Amino acid sequence: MTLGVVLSAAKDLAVGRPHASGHNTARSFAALRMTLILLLLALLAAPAFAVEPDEVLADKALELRARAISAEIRCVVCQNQSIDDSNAEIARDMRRAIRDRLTKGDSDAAVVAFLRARYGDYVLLRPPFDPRTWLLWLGGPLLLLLAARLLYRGAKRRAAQVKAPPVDLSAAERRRLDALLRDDEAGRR
Amino acid sequence: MSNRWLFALPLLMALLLGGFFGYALLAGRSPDDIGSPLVGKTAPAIDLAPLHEGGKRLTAADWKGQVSVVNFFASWCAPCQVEHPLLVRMARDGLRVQGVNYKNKPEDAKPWLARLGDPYERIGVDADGKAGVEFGLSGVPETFVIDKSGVVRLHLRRPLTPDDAQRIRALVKELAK
Repeated sequence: MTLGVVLSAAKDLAVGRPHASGHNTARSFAALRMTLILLLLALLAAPAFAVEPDEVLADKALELRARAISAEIRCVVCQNQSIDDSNAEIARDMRRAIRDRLTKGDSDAAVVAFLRARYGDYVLLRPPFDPRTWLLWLGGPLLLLLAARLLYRGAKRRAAQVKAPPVDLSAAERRRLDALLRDDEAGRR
Repeated sequence: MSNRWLFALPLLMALLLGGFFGYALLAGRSPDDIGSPLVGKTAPAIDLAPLHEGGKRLTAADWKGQVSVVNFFASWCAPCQVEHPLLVRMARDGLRVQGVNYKNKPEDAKPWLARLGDPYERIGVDADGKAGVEFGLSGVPETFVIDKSGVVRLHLRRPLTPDDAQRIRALVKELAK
């Protein structure tokens, strides 16, 4: 659908005639038109995939499972890319290993376990939930809860202050206030 | 009551964060150290065709009964060339060194070995890197020490240094008892 829209837009531009008569204007219009067409064509460029055609399995369901697993496995030489995104040789080998094992009938969990046994927890883009990672997983929510509690207590205290009846001035304070107001009035005159 | 120590909260947070950063910087942890989970586990079952005509296949069965140093190498890998003399010396001193020729054309590997010396008791050819994945390889060179019962005892994800070679010799001696 996107393709159709872009193509028709490009065609409109291509057949659009320059309305100006001057030779130079016509030429610059042509250049502009070319630029626009090229820009629109650039929109057509699909994102490059690391998975190469010769890796793809014939069985669609298996291929989908392989893609899903690869997206969760971290490339061992590129720090923060999944092997599904990485063009590294070793990532390609690992993708192939995943497909080999799936074809042999391994479950998804078994495939992940295979890689984890060889490359460690490092390859899991989503760290496992165990005692070493409790702080990592729970730290954020805990901090949020703590902040919510502080905010709640602050709000409650302020509400209590607002609700408390205003304390009236004592007789001495009222006399002082009256005196000040009188001075003020006198000064202004 | 809590107001008083809320005052110190920014300082506490800064100390906490500073502590984390300091730990990460000073504890000598490298973010690309992916560890060696195979250590302590039975070495993966591989069965590789020999590099040399008439040579023996490299199989997991070879590791039973004798301590082996298994080195993944390739002629296109410059660090392999740097560590190679250490392996040659180990073999000369009677250690059992085996090679896996990783993603390398035999016609490239053979002259390379002829030039630098061939320390390997046998060499398996891993043309497509499958044995590499089996061993959790992230690149070449990498070296494993496998004990008499076929269990991986050491895995070095780097070109060997003289210190590493010393460590391997000591470990092999220990495991051979």
